Amino acid sequence: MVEWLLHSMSADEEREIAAYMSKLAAATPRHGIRLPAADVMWVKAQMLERWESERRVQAPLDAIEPFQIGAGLVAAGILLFWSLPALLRVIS
Amino acid sequence: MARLDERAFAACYQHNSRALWSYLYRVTGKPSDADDLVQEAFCRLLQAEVGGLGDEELRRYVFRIGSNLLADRWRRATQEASWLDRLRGVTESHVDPEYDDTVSREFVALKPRERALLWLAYVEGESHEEIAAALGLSRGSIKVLLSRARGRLRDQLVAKGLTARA
Repeated sequence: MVEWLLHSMSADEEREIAAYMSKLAAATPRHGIRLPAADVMWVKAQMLERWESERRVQAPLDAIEPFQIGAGLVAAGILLFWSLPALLRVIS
Repeated sequence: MARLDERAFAACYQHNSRALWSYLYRVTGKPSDADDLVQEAFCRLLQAEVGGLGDEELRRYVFRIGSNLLADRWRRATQEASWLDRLRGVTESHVDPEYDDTVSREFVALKPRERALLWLAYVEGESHEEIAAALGLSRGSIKVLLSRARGRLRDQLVAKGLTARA
């Protein structure tokens, strides 16, 4: 509150700030403004949305991938353990 | 409410993209950031159910998206700032050396949030309530923050001799 009172301005000062801001808003940057055309933006937004929805659908599959790999490794281990005596017999 | 169709989107983009870019550029000081944020803002606009809004409401909505994206960046930058940077008080975002125009040197000396406040209040003519919603601040704090930003800008103008001391 004290700070606000310290910085409270007269109408003239307020006008100066407003004039400065108008001048700033009217000034064009030196390098210009380069924005894509509206139709390009439209296509880009559609593609982003499609990728996002694909990602959402894909997310559960991505999440279970480590479990799939783990289950595969466990199955391979069991198979190896189960067939090890037979393998050793063949080798010997 | 439905989403914008292609024609409504094109009209909204034509009317507002340059103004939004100018706002984001003056606040971030980096044209590449402004480019990215404008595109992200309009992509988000397309996913919003804003089909029934008028031109002015759409403009405010897209500025609100842009401001939210800015606020997200500030939050991320603050989180990413190292301990040493915080101790040294280096929290200001980098401003492109190309940040131009003799008219804007004083503006760039302000903090990004002060620039956003002043731009929304003076250029966009938004109310305290709208500014609070756009920048994710409490409505009660806007008056004080805006007053502080005005004071700092005026100090800059006086220091550069662009206006008389009161």
